[in-house]
Amino acid sequence: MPSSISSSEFENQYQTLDSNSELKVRFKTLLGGLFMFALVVGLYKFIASNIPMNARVLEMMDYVPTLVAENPQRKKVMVFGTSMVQAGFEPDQFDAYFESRGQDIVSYNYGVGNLNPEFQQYVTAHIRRELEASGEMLDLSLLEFNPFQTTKSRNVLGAITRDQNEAVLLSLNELWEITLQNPDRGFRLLNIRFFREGISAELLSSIFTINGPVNFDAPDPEYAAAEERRNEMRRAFLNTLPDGSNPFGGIWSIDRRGGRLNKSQLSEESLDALYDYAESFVHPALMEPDLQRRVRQGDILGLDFEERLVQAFINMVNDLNAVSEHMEVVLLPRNTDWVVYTPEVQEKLDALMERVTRETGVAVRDMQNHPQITPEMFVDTTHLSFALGIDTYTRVLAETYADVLSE
Amino acid sequence: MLFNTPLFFLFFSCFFFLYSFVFLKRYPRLLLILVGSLIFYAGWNFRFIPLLVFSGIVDYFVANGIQNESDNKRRKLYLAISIATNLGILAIFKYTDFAMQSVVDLMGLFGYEASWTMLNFVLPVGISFYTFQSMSYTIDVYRRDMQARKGLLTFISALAFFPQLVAGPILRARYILPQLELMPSPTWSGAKHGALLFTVGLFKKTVADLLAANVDYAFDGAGVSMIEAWTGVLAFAAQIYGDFSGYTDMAIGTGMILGFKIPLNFRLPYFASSPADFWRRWHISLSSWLRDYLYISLGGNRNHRYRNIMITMLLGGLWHGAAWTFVVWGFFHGLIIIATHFLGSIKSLQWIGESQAIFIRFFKWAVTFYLVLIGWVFFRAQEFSDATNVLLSMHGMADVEAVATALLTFWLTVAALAVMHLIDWVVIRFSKGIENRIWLFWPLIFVFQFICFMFGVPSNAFIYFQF
Repeated sequence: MPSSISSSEFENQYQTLDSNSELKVRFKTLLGGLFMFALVVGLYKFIASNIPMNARVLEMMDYVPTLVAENPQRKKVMVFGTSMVQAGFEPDQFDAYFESRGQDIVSYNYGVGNLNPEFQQYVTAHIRRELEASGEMLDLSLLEFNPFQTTKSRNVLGAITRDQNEAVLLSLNELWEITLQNPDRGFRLLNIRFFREGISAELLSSIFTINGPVNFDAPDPEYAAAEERRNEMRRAFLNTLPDGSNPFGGIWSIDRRGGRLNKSQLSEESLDALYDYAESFVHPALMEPDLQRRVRQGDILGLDFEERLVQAFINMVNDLNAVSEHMEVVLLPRNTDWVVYTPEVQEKLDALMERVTRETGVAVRDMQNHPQITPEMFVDTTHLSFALGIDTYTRVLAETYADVLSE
Repeated sequence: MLFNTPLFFLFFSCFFFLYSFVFLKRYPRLLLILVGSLIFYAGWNFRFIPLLVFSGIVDYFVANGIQNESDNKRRKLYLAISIATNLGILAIFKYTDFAMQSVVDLMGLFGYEASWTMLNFVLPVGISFYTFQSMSYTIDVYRRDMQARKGLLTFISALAFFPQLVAGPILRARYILPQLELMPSPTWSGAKHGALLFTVGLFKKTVADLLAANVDYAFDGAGVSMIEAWTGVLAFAAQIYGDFSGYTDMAIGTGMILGFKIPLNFRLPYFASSPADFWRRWHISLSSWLRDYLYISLGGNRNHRYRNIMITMLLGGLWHGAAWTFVVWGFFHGLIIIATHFLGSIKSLQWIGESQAIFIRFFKWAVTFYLVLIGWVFFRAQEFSDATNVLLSMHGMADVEAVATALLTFWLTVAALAVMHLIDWVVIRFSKGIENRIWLFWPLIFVFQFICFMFGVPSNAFIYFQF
């Protein structure tokens, strides 16, 4: 480092106010910076707009105001939860059940994956705000309690998506409040929402980390074979579809009200291929790693609950209860071949459910061991199958709540 | 407010607009710099602004007192006030708990139990940087290396100048004050060079953050295999270099865009051929500060050279953090500098220092790099036991099997470290050529900025902020 810089030396090296550097230079600098920013953001948006990262939850939320307005005379049912609801409840079949009994019911699948209660509560708060503003109520709302989404492990895992989920799910007013309290964080969230298409850098960069989602380990040969067969069955099913469409897309569509696959529109051949595809999931070589992943990421067998997530779930119950004529918390069916609780874990879960009822006044319905749902009806250790599982469980739900909806 | 955040982008865009188009005279610009810098600082904690201003006011008046005083005793007294004030601030906020805890631990060794309540002060960001910067002013005036300045606002603005406020470079008064007195305007060449440096800095910071998981994996508790230990230590070497040199590149770039010159703080440190050479390349503004104001004051090369080196490096280590691991890191560097000086003084070995043969140069580089890596183990470890574990693993003395991805991760880490140095080398060597070729300059900026926008996590703080 030079020991000092003299004024004359400095004047030689730099233009000063006296030499009055041209206005053009300053304009060029400012515009150059802004142009580069626009170019970078533009290319990023172009790429990211093809990644439907938050598409389902955003469309779910967007549709809330019209959900009531479009169906003023019909009884409205909302089943809210995680990907287990997304995979396990079919609104078309549910509504058809009641139609056959002469009842006009419209139901919605508000299940979405990768959100623990900390983030789900932003969605239920939004639903509550919108419905309260319209002065309307849901006739029945069922809120899934997903035990392994409420654990300490899940809370740790959620940290990586915290900024992203808050940026996308919070209202603009809430974001503005955060910005006033903590400008740095607020602008970060606004940046994710408006410039990054709702995808945080944390999520993108996590693919490079040593313990991140990318696994370079060579897969077990049995696993590889089972996976190959599953992919083969998937291709075979998709090939039977006339328009080459993908009915498994994660987008929440208004037409299907959150449902995934309308089986009544499938040909015999497609249905057969679909059942073969569903069957190809049920293989120990696929199930075991799936269970281990959920043990690691969600503590699915130990259920060490995280208080802040429990509290968030209680907030959700209160939100939906405030805008529902009838509401229940539901524990969805469990794949009892793989997810086996010890008596201590079951006790912990029971105690928590009692607490939810005590603090909210909302009943809990435990369908984890429902006799009509068998382990063959799952595609992995937690999700109901898009073949038998979803049909059976939708019917079970319809039968269970038929009395409530007849009132 | 971090350089790698959207808030800084907004702040700097507004600041640049006001600086370039609204405040065109010197005094309004000075006010803008001061207010802007304090807003920038308030982004962390506005309650510590008075501390910064207090340090500046004391040194401003002390320097003028020294200047106007001919009696040597009184001049010394003034200087003592400045040093006591700055080191006092540092001691209270940075070292009190460390000292108390050390006493408690020491008493524990002799069987006495003390239950002192630690003060748990929040460490004001940048305190180690601006106190040293402020002290250099009074010492320079005392040594008559520069004249005390009239203009409190200019001095406080120099101290608070936002590009370098929180993590350096430690900008000496004699370097920044003349610039603030003349108040530069942006130039096109300065803006281009600034943009290049800022972009390179941001890229290095982005890469450094991506390596953090590898570092944590090696240092956080559980034992690791030999290759994982080396990966962790190399990753930390890359992380701290990318993080700190990235920050100072962004600081220099920001200053240059405004028309200011801030000196280089890193010069390819991992190419060093001796420990002393490493310190001529690493955190140059700190090492030259310690050399000029501590080492030389202690007697420099003339009296008790080795003692002076050791004291300087010990205090340099302690400057980095209030923990014994930093003291050991400083001690280790003191030791290896003394050792190389000693070996260099042996006549039969002097040819090694002078030789330009490739093999000898490679040997000197490899030994230096190895020693620097060993030093980083102490720097990064939270506890001595962690450092010992990593050192044992590095040298094949831990019986732990590596994960399947270990070799791939190792080479990715080496590549990251190499890429950082390669980029710096290109910028040092060819920046003028790049900046003069529009077809190269803009696409380069675009590609690096795009990578940073994609993967740069704005919530990741800079490591050196904790110092």
